[in-house]
Amino acid sequence: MKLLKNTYKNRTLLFMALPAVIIMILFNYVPMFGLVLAFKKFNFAKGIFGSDWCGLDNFKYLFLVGETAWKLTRNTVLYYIAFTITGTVGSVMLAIGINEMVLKKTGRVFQSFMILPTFISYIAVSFVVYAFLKNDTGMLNRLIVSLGGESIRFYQDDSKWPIILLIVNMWKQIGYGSVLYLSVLTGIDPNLYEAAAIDGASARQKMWYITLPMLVPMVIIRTLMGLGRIMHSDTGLFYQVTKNSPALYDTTQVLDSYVLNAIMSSTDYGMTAATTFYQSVVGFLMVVGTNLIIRKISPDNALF
Amino acid sequence: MKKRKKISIGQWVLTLILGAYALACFLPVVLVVVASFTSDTYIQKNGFTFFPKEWSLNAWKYVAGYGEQLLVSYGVTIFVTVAGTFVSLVVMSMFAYSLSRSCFDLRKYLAIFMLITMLFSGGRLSSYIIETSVYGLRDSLLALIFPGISAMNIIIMRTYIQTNISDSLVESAKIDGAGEFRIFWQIVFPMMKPTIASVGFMQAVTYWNDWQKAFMYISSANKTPLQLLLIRIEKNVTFLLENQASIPASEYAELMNTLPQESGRMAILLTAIGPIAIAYPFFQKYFVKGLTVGAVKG
Repeated sequence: MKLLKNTYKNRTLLFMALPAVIIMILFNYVPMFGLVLAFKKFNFAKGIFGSDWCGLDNFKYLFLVGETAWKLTRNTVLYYIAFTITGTVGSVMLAIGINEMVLKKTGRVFQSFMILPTFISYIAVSFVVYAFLKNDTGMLNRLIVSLGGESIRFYQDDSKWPIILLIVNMWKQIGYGSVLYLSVLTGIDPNLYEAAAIDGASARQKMWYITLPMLVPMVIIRTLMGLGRIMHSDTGLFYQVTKNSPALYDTTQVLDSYVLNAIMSSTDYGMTAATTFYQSVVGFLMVVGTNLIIRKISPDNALF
Repeated sequence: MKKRKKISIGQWVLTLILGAYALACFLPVVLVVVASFTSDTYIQKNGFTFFPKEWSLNAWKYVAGYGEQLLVSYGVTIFVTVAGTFVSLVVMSMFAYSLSRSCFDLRKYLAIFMLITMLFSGGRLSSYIIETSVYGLRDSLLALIFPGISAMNIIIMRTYIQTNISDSLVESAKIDGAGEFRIFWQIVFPMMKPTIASVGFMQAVTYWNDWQKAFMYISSANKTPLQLLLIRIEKNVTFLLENQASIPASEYAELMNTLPQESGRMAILLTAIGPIAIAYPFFQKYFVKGLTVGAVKG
């Protein structure tokens, strides 16, 4: 009753919040109920909510027939872990490097260049990667041939892709990631370094005992906050840069690109629905779990 | 006079390494620029290089002549980016403002309502089916513009309002007789400039670079944004190359002629990434600020 009264008094505020609320209902909440499709035999004419139930059949196909679920999960999670580690280490190294530079202006110019890849769409990136990796006239293959090696058919050879994707992802992410760490570094009290210098600390000791410990909280928070997206990947990277080449699926297909592929080819929606259900539920558990941990370590950063 | 700082060898090495990496971030763009000015016969023989021996303006002539579809796609991308960024900023900032008002009891429930969307999602498939079959957004530009709001950005905005705009300012305006709506638009919104700039720029980049929604929803040519146009061109070229053997030679040449050559594709690509590559340095100081605000308090 009190709430109702207060809401009426502040009805302008409610009115201002309304557009966002409506958008969230339409595009976030209604699709959540659409997840029941995982337990249904989808029929276009009947729609999601009218289709017949089929129990756990869709999951049976996904988990028991073939190795799809296992392969997709493995790729998704492994890439996620590799990207997190290389991204964090790369970003921190760049930030420390730029922070240590005596020529501050030059450092800022460098950083501007390093941020650029973040803003280039994956479509553009896929064009450039293709220019490097093309079969006969790709730059990398021409280099290999001119060094006396044999050219590699990259888009048919799945063994090279984990490393290629790792490089492309680092190139695209670490410059932008370094911005945040650099802001932490510039915020460190210079007195700390002076005091250390008076006590006779070497440059390396200052790095090891002041700079790095100062960065640790941010690294932990960023890593934990990212964990909720462990079941998601950038489809730009995994679908476009690999040119969605079926020969590469074994090492490059992740849950998200599998689902996109299934939607575009409108194949069996049942199994796809089971996949997205699995993805959503595991994602939910990860977010809630990591939030519990964050709340223990640093309540300020907790989501709820 | 200030003494010039002595630069040690270690500094030189550090500067060189970082400079090399900065260059590596920039080189692919240079490659695209160079490729768009290289002659096609040279590319076909030698592949892309940074130092071609035969230059040509054909690609740009082609882009100029390609005309209509490119212009239409440019228009679609600009429309979606501007409309999407505008709508999402207005919707998000109003929501963030109502979340920040401590006299508004409902805000706790609204915050939870928003939080749930961060925790759980219906996934790509069910969104796709519902948006196409229930909302009728198939082949509609509205599908590209909506939803466009992110809970994370709302939190960034709310935190900014709470830490930078004092409650007493809002209260005193209220005593002077201004309504919440007016307070927001005339006092709070102008003061939110740094976060509006940083969130707005990131939103704009997301809209400009988005290919996936267009890829899933858009089919007609007059609604094709730039990124999708690039995907289509690339797909047609690959298709032709793969089926070269099964298509009669004369027909193949004719079909190939309707598509841009390698340098032409690079030129189109450049028109797609150019605006953002030019704009982002101007927004840099804002998104650095925005990033830090968002990270300090979620």
